[in-house]
Amino acid sequence: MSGERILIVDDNAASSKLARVLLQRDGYEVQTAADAEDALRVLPAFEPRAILMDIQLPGMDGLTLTRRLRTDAATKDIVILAMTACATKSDEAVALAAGCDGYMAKPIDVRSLPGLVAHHLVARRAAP
Amino acid sequence: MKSKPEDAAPGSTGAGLEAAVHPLHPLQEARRLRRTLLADMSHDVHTPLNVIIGFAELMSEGKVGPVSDEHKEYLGDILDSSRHLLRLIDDVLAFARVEAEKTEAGAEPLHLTAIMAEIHSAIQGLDASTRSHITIHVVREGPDRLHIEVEPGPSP
Repeated sequence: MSGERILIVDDNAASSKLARVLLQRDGYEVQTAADAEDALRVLPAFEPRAILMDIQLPGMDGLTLTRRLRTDAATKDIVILAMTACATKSDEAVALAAGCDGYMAKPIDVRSLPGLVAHHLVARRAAP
Repeated sequence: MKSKPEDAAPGSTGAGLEAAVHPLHPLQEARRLRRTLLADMSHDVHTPLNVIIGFAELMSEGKVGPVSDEHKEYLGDILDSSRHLLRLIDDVLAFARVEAEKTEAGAEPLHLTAIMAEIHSAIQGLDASTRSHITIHVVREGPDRLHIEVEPGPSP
């Protein structure tokens, strides 16, 4: 999985940094975006394999952005993992229904985040 | 504070149109605001704790550099306390959510005469020169429905 490109979309700078540090330590190439607009700007050139998507963003929220990416041929196959700081069971169902591949609640588990990303990347590659 | 997506202004005009046709009752609006406030509080508290716990774990496991026993002990204290705080806040918010749902029934018996008496005594306290007459019409419109109309001036 080393060298795979991951985009982190999170408006909280420290949260974004934590995820970035964790993934970079595992050899991923990481870029960050502070909101949906920023993410849409970064996407075409960066072409990430996966996105860590914070759901609560200023302006367009993470689930709306996910739905939008799913309708675009260029971005529909990106692995999208939703992250949220206010997690309930219904939030998870809503995230998956919006087209997210996986879901994690904050506080994120430092030990399992890179493994979870790797798992979803492998699963997507194996999918037809 | 940010709203959860389902509370955010929708992109389509569909829901906005519906809201215009069926304006939310003030009580419903208050409940919606309370739910949004609780969700926002949960989000706003989890976000910094996520960062504190995450970086403390990273350092505690020696992933940033060598950690002395004393460092490890204190990082462990930060982690224990942060997780404890997280549980406390989650418990308080869960309790608040249950309380909010309990009081969401809304309809409850109202002692109209007691309220009238309260208004009356409040008016009595006013200076006579600032006093003006109002007339309150109460019409029974159904088994559980009263129509109350207030108009300035004494009853004709």
